[in-house]
Amino acid sequence: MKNPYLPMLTKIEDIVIENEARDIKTFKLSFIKKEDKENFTFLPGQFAELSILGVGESPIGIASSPTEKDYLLFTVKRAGVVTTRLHRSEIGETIGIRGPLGNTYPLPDMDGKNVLIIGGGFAFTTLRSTVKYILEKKNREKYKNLTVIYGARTPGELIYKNELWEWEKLKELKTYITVDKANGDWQRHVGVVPAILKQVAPTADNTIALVCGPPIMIKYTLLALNELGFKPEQFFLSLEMRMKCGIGKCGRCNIGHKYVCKDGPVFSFAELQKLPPEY
Amino acid sequence: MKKELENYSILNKEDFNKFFNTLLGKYNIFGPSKSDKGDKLNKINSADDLMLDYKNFKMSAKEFFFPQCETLLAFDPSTGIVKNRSEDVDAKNDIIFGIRPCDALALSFFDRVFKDGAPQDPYYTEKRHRSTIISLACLEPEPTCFCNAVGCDVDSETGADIILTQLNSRYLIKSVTEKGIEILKHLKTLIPATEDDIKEKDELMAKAKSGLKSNVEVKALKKKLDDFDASFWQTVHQKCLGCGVCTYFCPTCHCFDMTDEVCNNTGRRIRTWDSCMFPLFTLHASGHNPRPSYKERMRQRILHKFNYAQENYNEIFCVGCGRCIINCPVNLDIRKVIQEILEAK
Ligand SMILES: Cc1cc2nc3c(=O)[nH]c(=O)nc-3n(C[C@H](O)[C@H](O)[C@H](O)COP(=O)(O)OP(=O)(O)OC[C@H]3O[C@@H](n4cnc5c(N)ncnc54)[C@H](O)[C@@H]3O)c2cc1C
Ligand code: SF4
Ligand code: SF4
Ligand code: FES
Repeated sequence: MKNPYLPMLTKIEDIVIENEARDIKTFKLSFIKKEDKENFTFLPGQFAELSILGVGESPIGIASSPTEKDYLLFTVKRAGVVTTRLHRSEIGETIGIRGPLGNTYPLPDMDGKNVLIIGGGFAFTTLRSTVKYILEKKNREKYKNLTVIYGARTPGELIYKNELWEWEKLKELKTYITVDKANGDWQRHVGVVPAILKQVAPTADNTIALVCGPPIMIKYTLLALNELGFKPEQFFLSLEMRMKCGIGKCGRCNIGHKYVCKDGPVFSFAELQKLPPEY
Repeated sequence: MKKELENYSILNKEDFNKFFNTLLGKYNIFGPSKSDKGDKLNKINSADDLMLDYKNFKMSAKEFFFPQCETLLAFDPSTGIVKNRSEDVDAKNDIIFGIRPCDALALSFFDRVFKDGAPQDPYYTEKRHRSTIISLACLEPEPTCFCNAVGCDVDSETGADIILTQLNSRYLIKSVTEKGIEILKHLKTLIPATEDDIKEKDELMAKAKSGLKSNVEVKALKKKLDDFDASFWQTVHQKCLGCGVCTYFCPTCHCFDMTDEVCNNTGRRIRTWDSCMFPLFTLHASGHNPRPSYKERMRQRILHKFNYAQENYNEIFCVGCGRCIINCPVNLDIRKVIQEILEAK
């Protein structure tokens, strides 16, 4: 019997500091055992429990795409005990990982459709995975227009900056990067994500939208999507709840009768409307 | 033999010790013991220590399969090498002898969560596979029992492999599952049961059932509970101190925490019982808490048992054992909570 509580061991290959505040870092991990690497198959939207033995575990979204074969990326904001310890880790250290956990963005349902990606702050992680995945040549042709709207408070708080600037140059997608407050020589959009969304006004026709960000952004983004004619079945959110087991046993992360760790973290807004607003 | 008698057999009282000792030779047996006055499931080393006139365990039988504190894995804190927790597996399998039908039913709910729901929980499942459940029908329910109101009963069989009923001078034994049949096979102390034995049992059970006084009607409850913002949630929690005792004693509460500890250069990841009645249960690292007050936490406890479990498993995750009523420091009575909700406009 496979033990879902046993972490697989990985090694930190690289660490990137993502923001000016230096409290968001991306960890590049590679499996120590070959069989673990082979067994770890996932799709964008899923997460994993990262663990530092002796300290504890934290659920973190997988920021790399399944098409990036040799490593996994996790972007972690320093918050409490485990994430703080993780931030003190160095290249070469061992990190445990359990997963992949949870469901995925509705990639099969997005076939033949436009994809609209809306992200805010450091919650862009699994959306990055999705963009990367769709941009892969063999996947790209399955989808129609790919639009990315991503924002942060200030330019220094945008994550994956180098990649964003690369995406801006590509014709395979349209990228709109915005900040709430510009500084210095900022040349791109200024304004909160929902406002930029309204300006860009992507068609709701045959489109699926994936939304991830802080609660306030989500709230106004939902209103904007509604104004643009999106139906609740057409947009998906990735939710967060405090978690432990990650496999629907410990009873911690439920919203109504759904467990975010097992039935989520991705829910369509239509599904969420049927659940109590307790998150 | 008549078809309906097929799974029944009779054990005479004078043969009981012989019967029990035969089982003791082949199995580790856990049950209510005289040495701790039937407070909890204990290892039984001789038939004399067995206490069959107990009412019910103070602690439910869940502890045996889901210990309050359990090692999930061990590790070496310096090298990070993970070891499956080492455990000496006993060559003998286990018999859980004499738990009440409500605890057996509660185990079947644990099965749904830990054994039948993917992925399987290996720690629970392993203990469950090793064990056979022999439950003991209730002749004298306690005043706090309300099993009949929530789909359980004094002679409920679900969760048990064998159910035993104490007749006036004999034991009536019924095998409920293949596992039960297997264990009783070739036991020379067992003789065929007759229709009179069944009649005697039915009479005893009818008498026992008449001792169950609760008349809460949970069928109508689900619909009331579908209204998440109903006004009764403002009041039903008011006495609650949030101590979590109700959930610790409850045979169906399965929530747990996972923590790491390092001691003398060995590390362990352990799971411990946790409770939805605690504010930390859902507190995010950001400080946000989706269930910030007693109101939301009481609502979660009631809804998990009486609404969400129905959505997910078509079951009510309460077996009416009354432990939460007996042990609550402020006498918060779940029967009254249900009643209040039912009566709310
Ligand atoms: C599906 C999912 C994906 C996530 N993805 C990311 C990500 O990509 N990057 C990122 O930085 N953060 C992410 N988070 C949030 C992250 O899990 C928490 O910030 C982190 O667990 C805090 O742990 P801590 O030990 O530092 O904090 P403490 O407050 O010390 O937490 C103690 C324990 O509580 C639990 N816990 C506390 N807060 C949360 C929370 N918000 N969510 C879940 N469990 C919590 C954890 O088990 C943690 O070990 C995600 C959360 C979920 C549920
Ligand atoms: S035992 Fe009573 S006081 Fe304690 S949490 Fe339960 S209902 Fe509240
Ligand atoms: S809620 Fe109370 S009565 Fe129901 S099973 Fe749990 S402890 Fe027993
Ligand atoms: S984290 Fe344990 S049930 Fe979801």
